Amino acid sequence: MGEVLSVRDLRVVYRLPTATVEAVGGVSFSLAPGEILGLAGESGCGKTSAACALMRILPGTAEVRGEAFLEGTEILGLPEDEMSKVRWRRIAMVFQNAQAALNPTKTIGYQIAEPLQVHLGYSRRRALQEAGTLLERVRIDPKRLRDYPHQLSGGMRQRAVIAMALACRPAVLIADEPTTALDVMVQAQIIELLKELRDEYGLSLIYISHDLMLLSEICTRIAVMYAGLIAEVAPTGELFRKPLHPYTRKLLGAVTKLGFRAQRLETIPGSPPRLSPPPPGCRFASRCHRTTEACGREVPGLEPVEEGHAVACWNWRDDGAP
Amino acid sequence: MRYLLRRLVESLVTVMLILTVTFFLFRVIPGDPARILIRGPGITRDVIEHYERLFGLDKPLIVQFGLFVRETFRGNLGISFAYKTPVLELLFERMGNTLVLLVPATLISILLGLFLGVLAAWKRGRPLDFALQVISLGFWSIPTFWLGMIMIMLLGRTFSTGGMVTAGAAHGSIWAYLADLGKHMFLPALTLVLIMHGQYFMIMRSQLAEELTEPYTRTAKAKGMRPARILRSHVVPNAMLPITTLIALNLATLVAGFITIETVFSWPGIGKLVYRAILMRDYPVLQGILIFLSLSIVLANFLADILYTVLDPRIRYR
Repeated sequence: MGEVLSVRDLRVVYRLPTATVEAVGGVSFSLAPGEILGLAGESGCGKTSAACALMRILPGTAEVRGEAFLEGTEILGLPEDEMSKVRWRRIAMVFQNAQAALNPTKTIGYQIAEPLQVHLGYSRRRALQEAGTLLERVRIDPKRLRDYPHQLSGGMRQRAVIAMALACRPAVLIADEPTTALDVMVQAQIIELLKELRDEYGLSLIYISHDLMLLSEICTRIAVMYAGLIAEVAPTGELFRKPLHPYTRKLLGAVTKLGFRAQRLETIPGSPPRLSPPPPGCRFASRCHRTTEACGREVPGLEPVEEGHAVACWNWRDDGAP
Repeated sequence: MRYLLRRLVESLVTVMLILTVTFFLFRVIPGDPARILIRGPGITRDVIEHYERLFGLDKPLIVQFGLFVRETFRGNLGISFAYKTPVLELLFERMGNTLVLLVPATLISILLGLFLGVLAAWKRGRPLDFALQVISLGFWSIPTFWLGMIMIMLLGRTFSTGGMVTAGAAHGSIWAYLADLGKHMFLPALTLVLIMHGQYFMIMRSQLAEELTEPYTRTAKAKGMRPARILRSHVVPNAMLPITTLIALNLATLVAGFITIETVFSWPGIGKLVYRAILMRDYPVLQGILIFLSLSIVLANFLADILYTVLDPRIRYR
């Protein structure tokens, strides 16, 4: 169907000694070539769990179910040994905190060159040369290959991590809040860089962030997650023009608008439900202003509204003002 | 460079403090050194005063201290009450014997402990991990002298159980000597390895478990690195950083010998010397060993710090 990645009913359950937590409760989405899909949602809504589940790097306490087809191959059921050949070559990831994601005692060069040596069989020399080229591509002086992570600035470290992720030219790149810890100027640079790289390397991107405005800058499509489920998914413009899910609306309401006089920021009262176990019915019900009887009884499925726009709400048709 | 210099000065200050404490520690212990030295009934005042003059015990304490520091730096640690020979000579002779036993035993313990630690961390939560923990901790908790005695009971017929070589034996060649030494060394060395490897095992295992929770190991996995490579190239080298310091410090304490082992197996090393020196109130010997031990710990600390700056890039450039 021309999709690079197609995820069906992805579930992640953490079996902890004290509780069983359903972090991701059945998420489906697909990624077209060259597309940048945004995964939005507040902390703990399952964005990172879903991403790590696709990479299959969750801890042993996590149970992953569902299917994910990466370039036609189902990867969630692959034997571990096969999977390690898929990682970084076909699907790579840029982690949230570059400082922690890098090994503090290995040089940047070593860490970028490592997958080239292991996956592509490059000699050390050639891998380092390639690593230098990659660094140059993300606008870091190749001399920095010999530096250790702590010697780079925050923005540089994040770019180095991006260079590392591109090393084996993956088809899909997951960027998990890659700019959260950075200041706004550096954020903008990184986003520009990712866009350029997408075109250059023919990447398809999943961009995870809690920042809707940021996502609107880079994404072609945005999926809004709430409590482990996708609440609404739509092309970026459409989502901002015509949000249908009450949660999306309130999120957009909570965004600061430039150019207006200082006003009190809108918030969403309450907090997400506990997911151990999840409540029956719609998970947003407890914070929603227009609940009906159905909301407390059954989880609403994603219902297509228009081409590329789907919403999981029983009452989206009642287009009443919030 | 400035870091090195600062550490060097710190080390020197520590040495001075050690000398001071050692000196006054042995001066506040009850008992008159001259009387201990002579140890006979019906000593006259004259004899005591003679000995006090001989050993400088009649001088004011502060002068004695000055002399003590000066002589220590000259390498003169005094004369043993019991053996009537210079303490330094005695220590060097015994230390050679001690190191012959302890250095190989300790190195084997370290290698074995670290290896088993990696193995357990890799298979953590599995039966092998559990079995290794039980064995290592079990041996670590056994009293050394008791295990030594059990070893003698079990294997005493096959291997020699006392001394370094067969007393009075004429060894035709160096090989015959080494074979005899090996036969005597085997049991004490085995006992030491069984007792000592446990701490390296536990530290390696827990250090690895800690490193494995660091996000960079997840990155390595995401990069498609296989578990063996992640351990070999990332986790073990990083876990070794704190362990290196521990090993350096443990190696430093080797100069003090291993009292229980050397006593049980009659090994003529420092440990056995300490044992006898305590029984006979041989203060100069004890004082000498204390100084020796402290100095080697200070030195090992200093070297470990330097080593650390070489191994850990985060410290190197500070």
